[in-house]
Amino acid sequence: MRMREDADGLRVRRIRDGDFHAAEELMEKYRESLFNFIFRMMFNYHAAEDIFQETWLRVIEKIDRYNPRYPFNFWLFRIARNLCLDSIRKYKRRSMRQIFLASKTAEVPNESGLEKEKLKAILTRTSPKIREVIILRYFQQYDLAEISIILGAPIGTIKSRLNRGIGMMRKIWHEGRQNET
Amino acid sequence: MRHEKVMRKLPLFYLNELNPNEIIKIEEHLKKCSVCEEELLSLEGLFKKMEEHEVPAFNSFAFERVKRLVAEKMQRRDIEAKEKIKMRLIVLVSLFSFSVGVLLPVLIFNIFSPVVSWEIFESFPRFVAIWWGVFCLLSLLTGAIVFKIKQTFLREVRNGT
Repeated sequence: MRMREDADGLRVRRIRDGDFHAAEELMEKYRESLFNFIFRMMFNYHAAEDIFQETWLRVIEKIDRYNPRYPFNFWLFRIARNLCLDSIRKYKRRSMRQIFLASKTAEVPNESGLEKEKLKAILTRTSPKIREVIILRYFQQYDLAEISIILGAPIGTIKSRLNRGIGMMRKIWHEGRQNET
Repeated sequence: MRHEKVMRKLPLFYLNELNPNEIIKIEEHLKKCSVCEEELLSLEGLFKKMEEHEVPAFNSFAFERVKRLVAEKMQRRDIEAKEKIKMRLIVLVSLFSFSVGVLLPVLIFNIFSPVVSWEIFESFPRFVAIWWGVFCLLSLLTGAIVFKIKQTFLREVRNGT
């Protein structure tokens, strides 16, 4: 962890000095994890692509504001998370389901596709603030203290959101299985 | 630990986010309670299913585009930073020359005069007063013009034109 912080910190310093290769290295390093996080927040490939791009442009724009006391990836995910929430707020009138359906152009889901949709539906039915905690904890493997720094919320709040979120997901999952039988 | 409490805490137990005491208590309860055990298994099943849900890979073309945009943004950032420094210097120099223009005669004449007074200006020869006035105004005017030009330039750089 410490090594990663230091390496990223050095890269940030190089970016500040105008070294594009440092930015490229960071982009390559966080390409997959950042895109996974954004995609799971948005459930729309094109929206995720736009937010991914916007996140990196925002990073370059605000690079002087980065606080080296915290790991770079915390700051990066925080920016991405804020952009996701902004985007979700913007599209609040259109439901998340509509956004999701818009991305599925003429794709007829097969049996496993239906299963996938059910899983997506589970996450889309939870609120973004709960969803982000589940994604960061379970898919990105951050611990609660780290999530608390990324999201700027107390650990207790994160813990309760996580518990509530998984409880809700479990309930939706059970409902879906009961409907099938 | 009560059954309801265990049920409530199962998600955090599964994610290993409880303290050791709570973990021991829940483990003891799980040995006795088949409902909770089943609930834990179903939770495990849900998470396994979620893991199987794949996220599409980020398109390489799109990634290259992001890189290009970032490179452009960094270039613009560099130019902006350099121009900002220049602009600050120009503002400083024009302010300095204005202050010198106004204050220098007062200082000079006050050194030679026993009484510190602004009235010293009244005894200025007319051409000296005009010369100082023109110098001050010109320095301010030049500063303002350069400032305006630089601002337009920076705006253009920011817009990428």
